[in-house]
Amino acid sequence: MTRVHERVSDPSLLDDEALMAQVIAGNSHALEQLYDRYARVVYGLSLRMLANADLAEEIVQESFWRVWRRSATFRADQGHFAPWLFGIAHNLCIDELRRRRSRPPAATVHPDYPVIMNVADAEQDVDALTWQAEQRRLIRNALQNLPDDQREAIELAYFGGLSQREIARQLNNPIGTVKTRIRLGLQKIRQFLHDQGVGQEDQ
Amino acid sequence: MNHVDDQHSRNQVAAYAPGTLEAEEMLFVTEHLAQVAESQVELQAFQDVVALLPYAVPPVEPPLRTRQQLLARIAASQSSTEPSTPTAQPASPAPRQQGGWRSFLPAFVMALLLLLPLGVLIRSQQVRLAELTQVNTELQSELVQARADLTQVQQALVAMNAEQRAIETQLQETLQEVNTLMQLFSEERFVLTFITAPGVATRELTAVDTTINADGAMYMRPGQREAVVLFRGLQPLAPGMVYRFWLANEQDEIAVGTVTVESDGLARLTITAPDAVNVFSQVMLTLEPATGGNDPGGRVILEGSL
Repeated sequence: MTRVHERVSDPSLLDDEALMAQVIAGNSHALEQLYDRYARVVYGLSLRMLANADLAEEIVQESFWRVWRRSATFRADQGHFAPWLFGIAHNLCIDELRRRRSRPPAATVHPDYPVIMNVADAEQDVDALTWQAEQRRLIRNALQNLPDDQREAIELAYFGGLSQREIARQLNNPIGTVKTRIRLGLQKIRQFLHDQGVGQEDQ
Repeated sequence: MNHVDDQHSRNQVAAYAPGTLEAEEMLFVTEHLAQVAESQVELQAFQDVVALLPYAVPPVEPPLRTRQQLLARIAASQSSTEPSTPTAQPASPAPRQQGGWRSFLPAFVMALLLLLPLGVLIRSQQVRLAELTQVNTELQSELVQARADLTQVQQALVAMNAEQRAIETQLQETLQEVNTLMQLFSEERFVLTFITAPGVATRELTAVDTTINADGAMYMRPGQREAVVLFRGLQPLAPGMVYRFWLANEQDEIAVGTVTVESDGLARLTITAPDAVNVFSQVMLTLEPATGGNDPGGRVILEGSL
């Protein structure tokens, strides 16, 4: 798939990697476009992980600031923009969690920032025709299809920012059990997405 | 790689994707990935899955101020790296040129038209260069930190390896002890089975004088070469000495084994005679130098008749 459309004048028509090429060239409008596309996801992720609106705002701003400052380190040939951005935001959240030294019990339901499965499906209708909404629908369905213990392990690992050892301690399970649950959970999600026709190129 | 190792590696590669490994585990997995292309492919598949996880969270519109602050920050960074003076300034006309400046106007305009984009381009590149320099500085700082972390991890790894070696050594020792105990158990079981079997005859071994407070019993089956002899009350041996057990008849005296005495004075000996045990008429236990030969030359401790 050709992803660079340098001659498209409307930046909203450019794909992420083409916008990043413009960011690399110093075009802050391209960054604004990327912000408008992904800030909601990053903010949602940060809220989920940190359960703190002020910190989540900081994470959003810092993530895109790093995209701007470190755009030259982005390699389109090694992956798409969204995973790169999410990786930056996720790492920042984990750093923040470790700084706090008092991680929130990620497996429990925060009253303001619900866990995945408590999201009302009606929300999907709003963005039903968008790419992100489709991604959201797929990954939620994939997570819903997991056994509870595997989903819990993955949530604690990714959204809770906990190490395997910490997860084992929190769940009072052997660490080997936790490791296996994470692997099996990811494998099942991968298989589910594959069955839904989602390939690597789509991600 | 066996099944357990393989499963462990696959678990660790999977855990690498959501970033749930601790520092020393990361080191192991990184080394593993460098060696196993198959695991690299598997990791990429897991990372593709993990890249979708943020979508699972309900998206939330951040406050408008977040966007405004970000853009202001970017604008400030751009302006802070702009040159303080314009890139291109019109030169002041020299007095001697005042009379004919109109003749140079087209050339001047042309030069301006050429220089302005060039100046803009240079300024843009200067800004980019400053940003990249800043990024480079930040990355170098992170690199220093990463190296420090790596050093700590390596130190922890060395300590873990030493600990692992100690545990392995201890495990080997324990295994040896278990093997010894198993062997002992097997021997004890054989002895017990032998002496309680139907048809077993018992012969007593008594001390040759009253200063010896020991005795023994020999369990044998007539017509068979195997026999078991149990002792009690034997004194601990001096260095270089052994208790040696003999079978004898009128022609021969045959050493059939040495006896190891336990701390409580008990001992047992399983023998296989060169002929059926009932061919022999006497048995005896002597105290001999360990280097003793085929003839009994030491002190007789116990004796008995068959």
